[in-house]
Parts: sequence; C-alpha cells; structure tokens
Amino acid sequence: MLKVFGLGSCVAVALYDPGIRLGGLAHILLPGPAPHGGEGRSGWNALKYADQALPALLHALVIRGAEPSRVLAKIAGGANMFSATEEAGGLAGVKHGIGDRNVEAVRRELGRLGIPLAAEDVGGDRGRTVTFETATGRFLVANAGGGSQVI
Amino acid sequence: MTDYCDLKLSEIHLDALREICNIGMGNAATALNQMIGRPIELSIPETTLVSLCDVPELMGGTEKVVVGIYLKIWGDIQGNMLLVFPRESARSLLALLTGGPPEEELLLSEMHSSALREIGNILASSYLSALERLLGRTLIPSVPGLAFDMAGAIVDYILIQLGEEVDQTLVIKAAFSGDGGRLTGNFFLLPDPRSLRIILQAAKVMAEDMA
Repeated sequence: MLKVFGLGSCVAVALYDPGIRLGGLAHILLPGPAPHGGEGRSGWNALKYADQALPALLHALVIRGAEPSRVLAKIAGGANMFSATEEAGGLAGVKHGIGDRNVEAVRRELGRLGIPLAAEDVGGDRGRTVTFETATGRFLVANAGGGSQVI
Repeated sequence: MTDYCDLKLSEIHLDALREICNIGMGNAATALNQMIGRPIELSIPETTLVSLCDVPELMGGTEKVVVGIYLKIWGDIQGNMLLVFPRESARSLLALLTGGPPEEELLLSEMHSSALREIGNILASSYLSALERLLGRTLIPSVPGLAFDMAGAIVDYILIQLGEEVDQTLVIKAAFSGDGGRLTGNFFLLPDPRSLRIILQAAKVMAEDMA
C-alpha cells in the first residue's frame, strides 16, 4: 500500500498492471519540462517533474515484469488551494492555476506514453490524501472534510 | 540560478536571521495582543534548511487540518510567508474576535474566513514592517489567501513555486501562544535565495553598526 498525504496542487499518479497486479505511485510537483543542468546541484530531484517521473515509474514497473500495453493510470490532486484569492487577482505575479497545469501535464505525458487514464479525481480547491493498494489497484481519495471515495 | 548552498550559511548568519525574525514576531505579537486583549508568548525562532519534500512535516504533519494564511512578499526582498493556526486555535481566535466560534468543525463561513484573513493581514504586515525598518529595504505583502485544509496541501502551493528554482529551502519558523495555550500558531518565512543574500548583508551592516 502506497500513500500520499496532503496533496494540494501536486498530482499523485498511480500506474498499475492488472495482469500481474503490480503498481507504483508518483508524486508530481511540477508540470515540467525539467530544466537542463540541474544535475549535480545538491538535493536535485528531477522526479518532481511530470515528464521525468512518469517514464521513470513506467520503466520501474516494466523491469519488474509489467506489460506496457496493460498498464493503466489513476490520478488525483491538482487542486487550486487559494483559488478565490487568485481569481480576485490578489496573489499578483503568482502563476495561476498551477494545479490545472499539473493535471494537464500529467494527462499529456500519459498520452505520450500510451497509458489509458482509468480514473481521476482532480481540480477543485480541497486537498486530498491518496491511498493506493498496489495488489488490487484500489485507489482511495480522502479529503480534509472527511469525505472519501474509491476510484 | 542561486542555490541556498551557494550562500554558505554559517551559524552566525542563522543567528542573525533568528534575531531579525524575533523582532518581526515581537511586533506581530503586540498587534495580536491588542486585538484580542490576551498576552501572547513567543518562542525563539528556528531556522532550518530542508529539502522541499520535508517542509510539510516541519509545518506540523501533512494530514493535520489547519488554517493557512498565505502572503507573497514583493519588493527589495521577495519570498513567501505562511501563518498557520491549528484548527482548534483558529476556533478560539474566532471566538475571541467575533464572539462565537463556527458551529461546523470543518467549514468556515464567509465572515469567519474574512476575519481570519484580516488577522493574517495585520500580523504579517506588522511582522514585515518591523523587518522593513530594521533592514532598510522595501517589503510589500500581497493580499492574503486563506485555505482551511490539510497542512500538506496548503504548503504544496508554496513548494511548487519554490520547486521551479530550488530543491531545498530555508524555513524560519516562529511559534506563538496565548490564552492559556488555547491559541497557538506558527509563522513561516521562506525567503527566496536571492533575497536571503540581501537580508544577510543588511544584517551584517546592522551588526557592525551596533558594535
């Protein structure tokens, strides 16, 4: 069981091969593309970008026996936490709709990799906690309001 | 691209940052004290250089439901400021300010969120104006944004902006409490790496003036 706590504008992406019941979860911070020349800087983590993390996760599943044509994706997150203030122009200069841009980048990357999107719970202005059971593909999304759903 | 590591922060630098923030916090605590008529106690600010993925933990746990009031800082010094009240504290604060806490545990009315946003505005402004006087630099706070949600989800928003430039951040955390411990909160200041250099230079001048 893999879990991501307190997702805001980030997106959690679960990739799952139902054939061999193998799955993995990626936590996407930024849409990307990842800038060049970041390698070598202390603490550098390219996997925060959608365009780096998803191929890496798919590769990790494939070397463990997953069949790329069977792999499905489920995603959650991409909220716009301060949407009301953003819309009012209050947070001037802050890039708008980062949650939406993350979701868009994840969809685009899944499309590029040819992975069908089986289910999603994205957008809105609430944070989420995601629990993914790698053996069953069960993807549970809970929010701070106490609500939860399996997608 | 400036990285925090390029700055080679020493214990003396961190000490100067703690002192600067202590003065800012003192100002904010006075403002809060005047608003609610209760004494406010401050703890010594902590400075930590952490990787972005460890920030939510520093804010008190990713899944904990909190009220987060976020301001972007513009001007000579740029960065992010986040004021976090645990749910119970936000309720006590609203009880003191408006004469009654919200009935719903997990929802805030328009009036309550507006009151909290205003508190955030006043506290951040008093904190920043102290810094401004001290450093002789301009700091302009944005309109505050408010979210009532999981701490991790709130802080995501700031980390994403930082994540475009850095993988680590300097977090200056200052805790305060009042009303017999019923009211607690944390102020987080996350200066941009470039601005940190300006702050440290100003602090150096300040220290030399005092010597």
